[in-house]
Amino acid sequence: MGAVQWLLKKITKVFGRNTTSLFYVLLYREILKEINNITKDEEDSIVILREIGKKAATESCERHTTVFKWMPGSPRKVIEYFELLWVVVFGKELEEGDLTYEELPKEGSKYNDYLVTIKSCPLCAGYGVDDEDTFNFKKISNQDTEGLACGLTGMLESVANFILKIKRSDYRINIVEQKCLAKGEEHLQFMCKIYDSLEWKELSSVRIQDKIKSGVKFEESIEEDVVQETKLDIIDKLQEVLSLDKIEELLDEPLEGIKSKVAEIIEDKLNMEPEHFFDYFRNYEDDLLRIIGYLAVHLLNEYGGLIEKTLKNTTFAKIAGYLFKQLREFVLLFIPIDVINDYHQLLISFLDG
Amino acid sequence: MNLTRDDLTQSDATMNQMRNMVYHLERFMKINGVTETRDNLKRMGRNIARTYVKYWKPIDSINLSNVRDAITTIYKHILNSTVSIEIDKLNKTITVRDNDCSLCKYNLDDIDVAGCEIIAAMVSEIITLINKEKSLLTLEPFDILESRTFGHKSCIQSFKYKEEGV
Repeated sequence: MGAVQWLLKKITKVFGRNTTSLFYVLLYREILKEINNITKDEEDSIVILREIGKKAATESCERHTTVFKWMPGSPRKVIEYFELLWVVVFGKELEEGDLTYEELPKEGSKYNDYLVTIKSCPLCAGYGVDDEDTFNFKKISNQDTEGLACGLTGMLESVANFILKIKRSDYRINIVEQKCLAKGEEHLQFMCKIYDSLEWKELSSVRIQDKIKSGVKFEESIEEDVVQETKLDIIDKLQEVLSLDKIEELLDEPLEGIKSKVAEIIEDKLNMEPEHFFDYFRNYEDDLLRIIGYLAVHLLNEYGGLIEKTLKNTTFAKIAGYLFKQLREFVLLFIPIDVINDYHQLLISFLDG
Repeated sequence: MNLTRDDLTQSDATMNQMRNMVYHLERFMKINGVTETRDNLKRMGRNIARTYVKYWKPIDSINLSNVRDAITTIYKHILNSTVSIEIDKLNKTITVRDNDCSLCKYNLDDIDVAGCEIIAAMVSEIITLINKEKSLLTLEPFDILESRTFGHKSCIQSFKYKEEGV
């Protein structure tokens, strides 16, 4: 797992409101049982729990839109970040090696299907052992009916499609629970299929009311086709260049890779050999460092006016000024001059090629 | 290796979306003409408690002298909430204030029953089950005096207690 994914998982957990997983799982079970008390039909209850999960997740996503703006906008990438979706929805990290992917080739389609397998499902953990586990999966005769994780599946699908929606993607993901431990199968398995907007519209046109046989009422959620065009904020501008997958690539890329990219840019844009370019700065390395600093500030301003906007506020400007002054004065107390000089030399030798 | 419910008492899950599910369940009950929503939520809480005590309990017996600690531990361990508790010995009531209720966060105008009815029922049932056959103290959820679902700053759950043999 990449560093940024790991960090985002931690951030998601920090902002979430946690309880023990057992309370979560038992509350989930009770919601299913209450639905079943109304429908009196196990297959309908599964369909409705899934829909309730979808509504609950969409509501939550709409409250925290900014978090999802950092996610990648390609449906394939969203599926590759399935573990992160799982943490967003469930808040519980998967054990190492618990999740596996299988890409299933799909003829004539831009995207393949994906089979995601999770070895140990927390929702099914110990299901059937206690007297209160009264929802009976044996009463379900239709093999295509999902299992206990149907509500969670609905949540995962909603989060995935919410990301694609705010990233203005034309594609949507359909996630279906194919195997369930509580139904006696060996593991939890999801089938993820990617559809274009037309196919998705057709798929979502089937009303829940038409899927259920028990005649209970259910308020259908209406999916908005188009994201309202609003004024772009700082995050919108930044995430165009810094979405999660791009940051991940940048961090994973070895120093040599970055070096060759810098060299490419110099050759391409300045029509100069890198060593000739850096020759201009020989004996002026300190100035070069300052230029890099100015460029960094300029870049941050270009992509969203981050620094300019922050420093417009007098209090923030004072705090930034104070911190900068303190940093300059006290840096040597905390970091030895040798270490600073080492990093200085390292940067210069990197720039020298 | 498959997970067990014992394992689940040792790990955390995020309630954000599950909290929303409780209120969507209430809405589903409402449009289907269910009138006893409060009783249903209490039943859910009792059922959660009945399963939960098989895997974890704060202490082996609870009386009036340690009930404050027991309730604090239940809220802390299960719900990750730090609560303040007042015991009114005259009216035999216990009031619990939770500033960060896991089932109530946003003011919801269309909702009549607070999600923390589930919590109040669960907590009282856990205590009653622990004291089963011990004739010490039983607890019953009495009322949700305030809830963030109704726009209050915190959730206040009140309980009636009964000391056996008194």
